[in-house]
Amino acid sequence: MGKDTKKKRRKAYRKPVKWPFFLLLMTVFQLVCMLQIYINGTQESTTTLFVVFGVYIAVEWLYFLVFGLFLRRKSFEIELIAFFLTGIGLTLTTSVYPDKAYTQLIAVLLGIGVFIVMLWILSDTKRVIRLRMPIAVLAVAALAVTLIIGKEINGAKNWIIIGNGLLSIQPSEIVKIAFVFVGAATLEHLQSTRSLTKYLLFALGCIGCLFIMKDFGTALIFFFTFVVMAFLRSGDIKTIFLVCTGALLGGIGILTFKPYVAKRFESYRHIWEYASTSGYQQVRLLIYAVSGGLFGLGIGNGKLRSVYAATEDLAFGMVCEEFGIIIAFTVLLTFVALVVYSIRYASAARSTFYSIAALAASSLLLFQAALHVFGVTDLLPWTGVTLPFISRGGSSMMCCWGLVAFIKAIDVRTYKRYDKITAGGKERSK
Amino acid sequence: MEQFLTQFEYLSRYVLTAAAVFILLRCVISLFRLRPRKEVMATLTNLADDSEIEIENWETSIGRSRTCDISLKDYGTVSRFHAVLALRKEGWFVFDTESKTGVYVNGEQIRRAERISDGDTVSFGNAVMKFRSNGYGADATDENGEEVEDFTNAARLVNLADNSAFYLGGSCLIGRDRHCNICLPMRNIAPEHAEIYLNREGWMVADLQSEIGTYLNGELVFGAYPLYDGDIISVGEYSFMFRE
Repeated sequence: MGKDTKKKRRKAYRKPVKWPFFLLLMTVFQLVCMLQIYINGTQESTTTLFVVFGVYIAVEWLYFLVFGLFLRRKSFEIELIAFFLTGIGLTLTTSVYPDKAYTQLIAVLLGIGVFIVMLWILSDTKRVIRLRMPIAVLAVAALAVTLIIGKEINGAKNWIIIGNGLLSIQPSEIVKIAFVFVGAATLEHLQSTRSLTKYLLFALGCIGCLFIMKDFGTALIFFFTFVVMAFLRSGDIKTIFLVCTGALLGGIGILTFKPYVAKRFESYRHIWEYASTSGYQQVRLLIYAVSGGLFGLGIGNGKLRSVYAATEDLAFGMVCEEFGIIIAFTVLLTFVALVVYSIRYASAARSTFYSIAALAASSLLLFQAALHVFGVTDLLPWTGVTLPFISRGGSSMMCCWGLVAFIKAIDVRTYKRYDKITAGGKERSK
Repeated sequence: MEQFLTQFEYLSRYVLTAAAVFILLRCVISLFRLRPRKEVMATLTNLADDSEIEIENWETSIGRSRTCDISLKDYGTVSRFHAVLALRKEGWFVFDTESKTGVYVNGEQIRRAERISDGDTVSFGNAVMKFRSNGYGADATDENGEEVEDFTNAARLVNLADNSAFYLGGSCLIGRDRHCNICLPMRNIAPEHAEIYLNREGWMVADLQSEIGTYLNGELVFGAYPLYDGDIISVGEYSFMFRE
C-alpha cells in the first residue's frame, strides 16, 4: 500500500531538469553533429570545425558552471532550450559556410553576453524605468541612421556595412529588444493615456522606418508585437480591433497605390509558375525538405545547402532535410511552449513589466518562426525573416538571446540564490 | 573503417532525433512544472458598505474603467484610471496615476506615490477604503523576529485559513509542542508532526512519523518530498500553501 502510494506521488511530481545531465546530453548531441560534418567531408578545414565546436561547448559548460555552481541558480530550462537551438544553427552554418563559422561563433558569444547583461538590467525595475527613455531614443535613432546610410540587400535597405564589408549589422534586429523593453516598462503608468500615446508614437516611428526601408517582414513582426503589447497594456479589445482594421486598410492602400510593393510578392501562391525565377528557393525547399523524411539525411548529405541563403532564409528547410521533420517540428513546438509558459506564469510575476515583456518576447519569437515557416512553404507571402536561433546572422542571434532574457526574467527563481546547506544545519535561501 | 563510419552515420541520425526530442520536450515539461497560484496578498475594505476587495496581484489598477483590476464604476468622482496599488521591495505603495480628484492616505493628498501600511485609510475620490496587508511587506518577520530583507523572494508558508504568512528562515517544525515553529494546538496533531527544511534539492517536507500523517497536495507523504511553489501541505485540519 505504502509503496503504491509512493509510486503515485513520484509520478505526480515533475521534477525540474538536472542541468549537468542535460548539458552532457546536449554536448553529446553537438559532438555527434560535429562528427557527421567531419565524416561527410564538407568541412575543408578540420581546425575550424574543432575550434568552433570546442569553443561553443566550453562556453556552454562555463555558463552553467558559473550560474549553477558559483551563483547557485536553480532553473535552467530556458537556457538549455536556447543553447540547444543555437547549437543546431551553428552546426548548419559550420557545415554549409565553413568560412563564416568563426563570425557566427562570435555572434553567438555576443548573444550570450547580451542575455547576461539583459538579465542584470531586468533584475531591478527602477533601473528599467531609468533606461526606458534613452533606449527608446537610441532605437529610433538607429533606424533613422539606417534609413540614411543603410545599404539595400535583397530588396530591403536595412543593413549598415562598416569597414568595406568587414562588419555588417542589421539595426532592425537589435531594435526588437528595445521595442519590447520600452513597451513593457511602464509599471504604474500602464493604463494612462499619456503613456499609451507615447508608446504609440514610438511604435509608429519604428514601423514607419521599417516600411520605408522595405523591410516588410520585420515591420509585420513589430506590428504584431505592438498589437500584443497594446492589448496587454490596455486590456481593451475594441481599440485593438480598430488598430488592426486601420493597419489592414493601410496595407491594402499601399499595395494599390505603390505597385512596387506588390511586385515583391508576385510569386506568392504561384511559386511553381516562377520555379526558375523568384520562386526558385521555395520550390527547392519544398522538394528537398520532404526528402529528409522523419530522421533526416544526415548533416552534409542534403541538397538544399547549394541553394542561395540556405542557412538564413531557408533554415527551416535545412533542418527538415538534414535533421528530419521530427526535430524540425519539435523546434517549432518549443516556440509555442514558450508562449504558453509566459501566459501561464504571467499572473504570478513580480510586476506587470515582467508579464508583458515575457509574453511580448515569446509571441515575437513565435510569430517570427511562423512567418519564416509559412513564408518559405508559400502559405504566407515570403518576407525572408530568419528562424530564431537557427538562421545564420549576427544581429538576429543577439536579438534572440536578448528576447529570451525577458522570458527568463518572469521566473522569480532567476534572481534567487540557493545556497548549500551548512554544517550547523542552518540553511537559508537568499 | 569506412563501413564503421557508414554505420555510425546511419545510426547517429536516430540518436540525434531521440536526443533532440528528449532534451526539448523534457525542458518544456519542466517549465510547466511550476504551478503559479494566486493568493490574497492584501485586502481593501470599502468603508461605505464594509465589502472586502482582495488584492491578488503585485500591481493592481484602480479606477472607473472596466479594464481596471478594481473597477469602481459606481463612483462618479473616481477617474477612469485613478490609481495603482503596487507591492515593491520596500513594501506596499499607492500611486496616483494623474487622477482628477486625487488619492488621499489618512486624509492627506499624495503627490505621486506614497508608502502605505496596515490600517491606513486610502481614498480614491469619494471611495474610502481601509488597507490591510496579509503578511506581505517590509514589516514581515521570520520565526526569530528578524526582518525579512527581500520578502518578495522569501520562501513562506501561507495559512489558508487566515492568509497569514510564516517566513521560512531554515528548518521549520510543525506540531503540537510549544517549541515548534508553527504550533498547532490540536489533539490529533503529533507533538512534532512534520518538518520543512532546505537541502541541495531545494525545500522539502518530511512527515515525522505522525499518526494521522502529513498530506502534500492531498496525497500522503512518505519520507520526504520536494516542495514547489503553490504546493498545499495539510496537517490535520490545517492547510498551508508553500510559496517561494
